[in-house]
Amino acid sequence: MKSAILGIVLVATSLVLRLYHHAPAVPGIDSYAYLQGALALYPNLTFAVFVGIALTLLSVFLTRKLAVRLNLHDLTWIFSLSPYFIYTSIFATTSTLAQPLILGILLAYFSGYGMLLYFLAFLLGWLGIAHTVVALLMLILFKKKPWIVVPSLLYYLAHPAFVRTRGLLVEFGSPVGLSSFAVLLALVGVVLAWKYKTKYYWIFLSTFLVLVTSIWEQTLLVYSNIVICLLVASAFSGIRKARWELRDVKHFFLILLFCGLLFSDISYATTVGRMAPDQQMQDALRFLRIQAPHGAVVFSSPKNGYWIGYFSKLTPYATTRQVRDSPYFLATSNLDELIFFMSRNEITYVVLTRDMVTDSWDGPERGMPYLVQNKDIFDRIYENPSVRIYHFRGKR
Amino acid sequence: MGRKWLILLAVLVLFARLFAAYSNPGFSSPEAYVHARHIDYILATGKPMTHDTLSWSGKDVAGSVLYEYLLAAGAFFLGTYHALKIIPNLFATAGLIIVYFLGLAITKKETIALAGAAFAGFMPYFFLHTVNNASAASLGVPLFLFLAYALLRAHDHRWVVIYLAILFFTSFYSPMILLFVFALAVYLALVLTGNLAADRIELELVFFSIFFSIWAQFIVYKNVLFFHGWGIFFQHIPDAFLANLSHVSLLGIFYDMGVVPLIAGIAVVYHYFLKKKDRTVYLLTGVLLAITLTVWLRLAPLVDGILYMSQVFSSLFAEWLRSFQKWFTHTRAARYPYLFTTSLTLLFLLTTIHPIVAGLPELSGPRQEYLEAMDFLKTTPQDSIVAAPLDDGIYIASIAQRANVLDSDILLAPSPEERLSDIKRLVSTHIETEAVELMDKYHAEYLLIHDDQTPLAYAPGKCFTNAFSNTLVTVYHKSTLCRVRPR
Repeated sequence: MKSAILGIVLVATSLVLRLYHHAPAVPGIDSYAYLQGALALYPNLTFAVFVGIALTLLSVFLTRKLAVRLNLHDLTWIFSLSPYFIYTSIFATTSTLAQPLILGILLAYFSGYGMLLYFLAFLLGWLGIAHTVVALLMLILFKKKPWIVVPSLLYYLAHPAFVRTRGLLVEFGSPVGLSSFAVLLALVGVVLAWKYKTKYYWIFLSTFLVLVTSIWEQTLLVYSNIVICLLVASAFSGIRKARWELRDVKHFFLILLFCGLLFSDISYATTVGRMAPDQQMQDALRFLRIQAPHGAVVFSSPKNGYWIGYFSKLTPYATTRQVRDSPYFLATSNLDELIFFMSRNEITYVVLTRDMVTDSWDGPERGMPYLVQNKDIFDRIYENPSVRIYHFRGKR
Repeated sequence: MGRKWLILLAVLVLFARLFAAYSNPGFSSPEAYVHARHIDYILATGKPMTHDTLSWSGKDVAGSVLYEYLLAAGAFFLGTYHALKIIPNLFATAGLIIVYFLGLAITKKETIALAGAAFAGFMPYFFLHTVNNASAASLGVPLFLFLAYALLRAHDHRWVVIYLAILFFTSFYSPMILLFVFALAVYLALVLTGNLAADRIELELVFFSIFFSIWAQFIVYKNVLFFHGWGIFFQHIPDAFLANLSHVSLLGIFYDMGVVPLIAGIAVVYHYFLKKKDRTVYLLTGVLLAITLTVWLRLAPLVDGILYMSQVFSSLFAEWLRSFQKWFTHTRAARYPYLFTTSLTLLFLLTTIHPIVAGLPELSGPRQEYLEAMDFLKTTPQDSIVAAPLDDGIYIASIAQRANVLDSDILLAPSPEERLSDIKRLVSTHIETEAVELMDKYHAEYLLIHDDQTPLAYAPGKCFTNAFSNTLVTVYHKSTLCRVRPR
């Protein structure tokens, strides 16, 4: 655990920052999309974070074992300094569970524990369609019996669900992803490993496949991250072992690589610390939960959909996975059209946030923020610096 | 002997530059006025400006502040105006000294290297684009060349330290360091394909440079990368925000870069590709290829690309001159040694001095009538927002010191494409209500238009009154009573 201490400190920093901002412990949209479907497993957010951290610590332990097995001693700290390490610790998604499972599968394969490998692959297969396909491919590549994941494959082929990637690199604004610096260093790892290309062509091929497909499917980022960490560790170890003419430059270089990975992770940790939802959003939606009758439909930006569902227990009109026609009605300045739309869809509440005002309308006096000022139609029932809630009275 | 002439040449170039700079009271590009605001801010607070309340009606400032700090240090003694006139020209003049040493490294002949330096000092494109606009490239180009020179001398340990120091500074100075890194990659490819043994020290430094410079950009441009995402690399921004692309012609570029150094440089690159092998020429070729490719792919701005290229061509020109002189000594004309010097001087005058003299009138700053309009805007309430075409944005923020709706500083700018199209619509619409709506969208009270534009169909009118007018610009004031109510 010693080598992962920096990564753990950064996870703690993210949590402390969220605590400092009085934000709910779990950030992000995906987390709440998952939490709503797994309410029975997670009675509250603190428990979700506790489970996330426990599973991530288990991942650290497995990575350490893997590092020893592969003779890549830098793997553990590189893994713990990846932004995805923070993601799996704090965000509540299936990746939190997929990460120790895949590491366990790799370790079981290298240690020759066949039964354990089958058991873990079976579990992995039930986490979603992308995970099932990965488990299937791994079993085929490891020359093991792939039928173990056939039931989950059949199930998910009938109920496929994909999560579109919203960016690959955290430095470029992606809420979840890889470190650009690590990706760059991984290229060096590829160059160093290139001499083994004929012997392990299938590893190269599947690695390439996972990296490319994770551009579209966010779920696969958990595998990309492990691949990148392995490549970075081999690059780091290669650079350290190489004989340099300029020894000082070599030392500077190793420090630079360490700083590059560390700064990238620090940057992500602070981003996660400020990430929505915040305390004000939580307060507003809890107010709505008390105020509104059960089953009421709430209109807001699709980005707020899952938060509305989780905190207020009401029905959001749109979510990020089901945007519907919400962008049009958020932008409209036609009051009659808006009234007709809201009445038809039985929408009774409107939630407007400060982010929406700057993102969607470039000012408070445009589109829906302007229309809800009509006191005959809308009642402002709640307001804080971030969120305003309006009750829709109905037709004039 | 050569060094004395070099100093004399440097003094001559500096004198010519200062003469050209002080011939015009203003500055030839808005960039200088932006620097002026930043310098004043640094002098007043000691800190860099991190949030600009006037640009885009308020946006965060991104990028390196090293250049502004260097200018501010000069402004502390000289004042902002003189610092902006003198210091960039001092930097630009230093470039010819590095070109001299690069030429010397290739040709081993002082007089030839001196001729190359003279062409570099009076290279029209570089001269005209750095003399009166306080361009950051005036230091960026010499740093770029110095890095190349230091790398070539890296087998000496002292030069390794110098190289690392310059690399450190340049990486935090300008994103153009990425161009140098790309050039290094091309250079290595040329060395390997040219069957030259790869120097281990060079390889190690190149490897270190690649990672260090990229890391530095992540530090300096962290917010920009986070805000703009991948688009920033591919300049996913409207052409209007890019530097005057519509006015650029290939022939014009050739003429401004100096026809002789350009053709000579291309000849040297061609010659070394096929027959000879030399690390210095390969490195400079790498730089040229890297710049050409990045400019072609629109990864780097055209103007900056040409600025960097022009000085590299001057260095390569020295090698061409050496070959030409060698050939000349084998011809019958060798009996008349002054013929070589005279023809070279004529070439120099025709291809460098003439374009510079012809380009000097374009170095003038904003016209007096324009400055009068800015003076008027200064009299408006301090929190006024002025809507104006893109090119006027920086002048409104810098000279009139009023907030604009948009300007050419696009980094971290809020919805630039939408704002640009709204401003275009504002000056072309025939419907007054639409104009009022657009002005309200940005809380703008004043609208500035040029008299050579199509007159506004809706102004002067009920909502827009003429607040200021002269032969060049008109400023309209939008009545606060005019508002568009939703349906």
